[in-house]
Amino acid sequence: MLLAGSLAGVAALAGGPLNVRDTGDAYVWSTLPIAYRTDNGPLSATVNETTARGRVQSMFNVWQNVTTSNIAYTRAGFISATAGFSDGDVSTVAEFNAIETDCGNGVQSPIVYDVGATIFIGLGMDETSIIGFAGPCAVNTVAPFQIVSGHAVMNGLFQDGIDNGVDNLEITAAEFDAAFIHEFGHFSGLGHSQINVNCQAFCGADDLAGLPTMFPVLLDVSMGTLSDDDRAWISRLYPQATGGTTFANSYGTITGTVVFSDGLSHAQGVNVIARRVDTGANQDRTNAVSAVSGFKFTANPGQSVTADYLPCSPAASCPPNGFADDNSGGSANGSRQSADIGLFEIPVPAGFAYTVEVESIDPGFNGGSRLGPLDPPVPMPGVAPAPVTTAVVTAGAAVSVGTIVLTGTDPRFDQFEGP
Amino acid sequence: MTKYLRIARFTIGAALLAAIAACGGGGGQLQPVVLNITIATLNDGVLGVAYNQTVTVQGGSGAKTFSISAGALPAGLALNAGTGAITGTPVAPIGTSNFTVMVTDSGSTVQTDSQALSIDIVNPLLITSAALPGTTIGAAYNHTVTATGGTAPYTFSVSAGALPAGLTLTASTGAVAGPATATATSQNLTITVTDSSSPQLTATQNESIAITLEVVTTSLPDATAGVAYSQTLQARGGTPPYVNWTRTAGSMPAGIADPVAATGVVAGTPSLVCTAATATFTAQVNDSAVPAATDSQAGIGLTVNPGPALAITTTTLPNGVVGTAYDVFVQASGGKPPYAFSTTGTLPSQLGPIDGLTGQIAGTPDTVETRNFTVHVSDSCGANDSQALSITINAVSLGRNDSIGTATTLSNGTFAASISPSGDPNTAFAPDVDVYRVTANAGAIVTINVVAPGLSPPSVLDPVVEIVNAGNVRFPNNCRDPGDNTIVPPSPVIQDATPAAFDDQCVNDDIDLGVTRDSMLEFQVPGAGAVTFFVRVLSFDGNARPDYLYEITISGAN
Repeated sequence: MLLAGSLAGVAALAGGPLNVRDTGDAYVWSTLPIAYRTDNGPLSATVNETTARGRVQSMFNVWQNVTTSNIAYTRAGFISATAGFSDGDVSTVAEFNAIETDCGNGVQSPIVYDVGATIFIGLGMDETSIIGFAGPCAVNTVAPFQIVSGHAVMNGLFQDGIDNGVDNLEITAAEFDAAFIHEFGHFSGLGHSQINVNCQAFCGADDLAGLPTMFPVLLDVSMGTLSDDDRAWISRLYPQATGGTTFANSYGTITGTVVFSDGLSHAQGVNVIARRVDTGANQDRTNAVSAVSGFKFTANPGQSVTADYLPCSPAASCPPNGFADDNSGGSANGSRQSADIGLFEIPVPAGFAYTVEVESIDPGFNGGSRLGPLDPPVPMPGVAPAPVTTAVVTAGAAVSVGTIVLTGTDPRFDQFEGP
Repeated sequence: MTKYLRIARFTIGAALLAAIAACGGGGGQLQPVVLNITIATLNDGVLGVAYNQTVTVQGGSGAKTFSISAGALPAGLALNAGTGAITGTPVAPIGTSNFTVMVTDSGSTVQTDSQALSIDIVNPLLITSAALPGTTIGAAYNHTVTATGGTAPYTFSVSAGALPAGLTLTASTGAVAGPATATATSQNLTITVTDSSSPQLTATQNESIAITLEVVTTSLPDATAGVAYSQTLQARGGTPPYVNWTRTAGSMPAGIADPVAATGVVAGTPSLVCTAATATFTAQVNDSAVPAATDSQAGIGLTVNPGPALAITTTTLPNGVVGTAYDVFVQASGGKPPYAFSTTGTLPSQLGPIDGLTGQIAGTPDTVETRNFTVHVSDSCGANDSQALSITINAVSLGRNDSIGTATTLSNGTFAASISPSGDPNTAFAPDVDVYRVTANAGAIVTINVVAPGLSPPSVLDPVVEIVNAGNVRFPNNCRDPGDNTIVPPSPVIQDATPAAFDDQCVNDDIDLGVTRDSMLEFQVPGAGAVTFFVRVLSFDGNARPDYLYEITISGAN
């Protein structure tokens, strides 16, 4: 029996997995290969359905070709007809809503081509800047709570051959595809990663090589090629367990906890990067994997004081119990184990030593570009300590760097409290 | 000397068997009937020492008669014809006398037997060497015990007591050789010499070998001023135990007593010194011999080194609290007291000055502040040390103000604070809350405004404010949410029909829906007189952490 629940509004907890369960484990697809359906209309005036279909398959193949991951995709056909949609070409908001209902119920996973950005405009989204979006639609509401459907919407306005410099911009096919390789990462369950954030201002070739496909914003067409971070996390979520090259014999894990200066208070939302020790080829810039501290822990455990104090009218409009501001349960997604607060786990290619460093999440990475358990991101408190260098990480082994203590943070207790 | 033994042989004939039967049969003892001298050798005789040995026979019948049938007995000895006893005291000369003894019985058929015998006459065995002399441990020693008389070779041994350690006796020569070793002490012993006569002769001589008593301690290990010290003077040789240890000359370091008479222990706690100093003395000791031996050692040196360097051992000082007596001592160690303390810099208000002799800093602080200062100390030797210290004076703390019982008392004003971390302690997830005690007159309108944004660095706390009574029960309808006044339908959906009335529950997340990170309540104080109530501030998400700061502003209270 398939019981589907919507993931709409679920917080994205990256880098690494897009969403995590109450166990702290990532939401992953329940069935491989992932069966998707494509729009039977063109992507734009210059990209017909056949070409679009081929490009979609190529984008999925980028992920599928990671040898240490068993993720796989298959096209199940065109988007299926459903109530309110029958012509195969999703071209209106009404039709989109119809298939979204299907997606939300776990019926099908549509890849929609939005010719002329009709759907974007209808949904109130900025069609002039948003190339597209993608992600899971529904998960099983019974164990093991896995993704059963997903969707993607491609803004054809960026591929129509017109660039008026104002509200209809054009990007290359490679750039467009790079953007959707990123989106299909979300579709597969991956969140954003922040590595070489300096690339937003200036980026050398080495930094560019280490820039993840899952970086929150598209900076360069080269992001269509997966980085160590992308390969590590897709392999962690979907580990290849058979054959000569497996996740277990190719990757180890670096773990630790970020804490405040008191050494006790665990710090959520600090970006942690494991950079391969440079042996002369700038591997510290080209080969890196990241995670955000506390990515397993729910950022919103909730409390009971505001549970029932603001009755509203009509009650049905105030989720979840007829009271506004009811946050007694907090976020349903993510672990509530206190040990997971500030914890990070980074899968890294085995056979190398790494330096582990911490930094703030870029304050601009919020909302749809969010990264980590806190949205908006909280500046990393205090000052980052010197990076920690690990021993050579061996395959299948976990290397703990212990606690990474931030310096100069606010005291544990305020002026009215004693220890 | 060759000896010959005749073996008796007989045959029991029919007539003899008849005679045995006549004596009563089976219980009788057979008697040889053949006369036979049964002794083949005789003892040596010692010149001047009485001799007595009997020539024994068996068989034969009736009385026997002994005689010398050939040769002669040694001079001074005679044979008893009726008994066969040879007696007398040998006289010179020494040597061997050979003779034949014949015996005759008195039976009906007279029988005779003869036996060739001899007696050696020797001089008495004597140890002739003088008493062995004493010696000193380590000195060469080579003396010989000598003997005369008897029959060589001789064998020497220690038959009682023992030689001093290190000395040995050679059995075949009587040589006693050394040297005596370190553990040797005076010994009384007996040396015995035996010869090769038959029977063997023995001579003994008592010896007393004295080992010279010596005090061997010439210096003692260094002592440290102020540190307990104990060492034992050492002696050797003589006759232990060593007693009557005394200091006969020189002096002991201050704090160290004279040697203990019975043990030689030198002990005490040296007095503090500024520089190393050495005292020398002469130690004397007796042993337990009678009369006692005495030895002494002059120039025994004992150096006392200064103790640890002067240092201030206090590295931190406890925080103080405004209005609470503060009393601590800055501690110093080492050097040579008395110490002299002083400070540079400024102590917290109403504390100090530091007590120059004891290092005490005391007083009742009246200001919330942190003062950094330096404590200096010097000792009587002129040594110095300094330590940078600080004292923080805190406001009166109620501990963790996370309950009614530990609430922080506030009045009107604006105060900065932070909610304690969630998951604190980290082993148990427990979102925390700050609780403040406020007092206002009944009927007063108290405004509580909690603001998180606008701080530097920006806080992402989404605060919730709640007003409860002493029983931790929320006031149900005594508040007004200022945000209610600005609601514009249809959004948000909350409709307050009486936005100006104090009829809302006393809890608020946001002033207005859609606005986060600030929270305000206006509270009309119920009851009569001065009313105490409690303001609770907590995180909407339950994920507070140390850097989630907020400001709480109270107005309208007492």
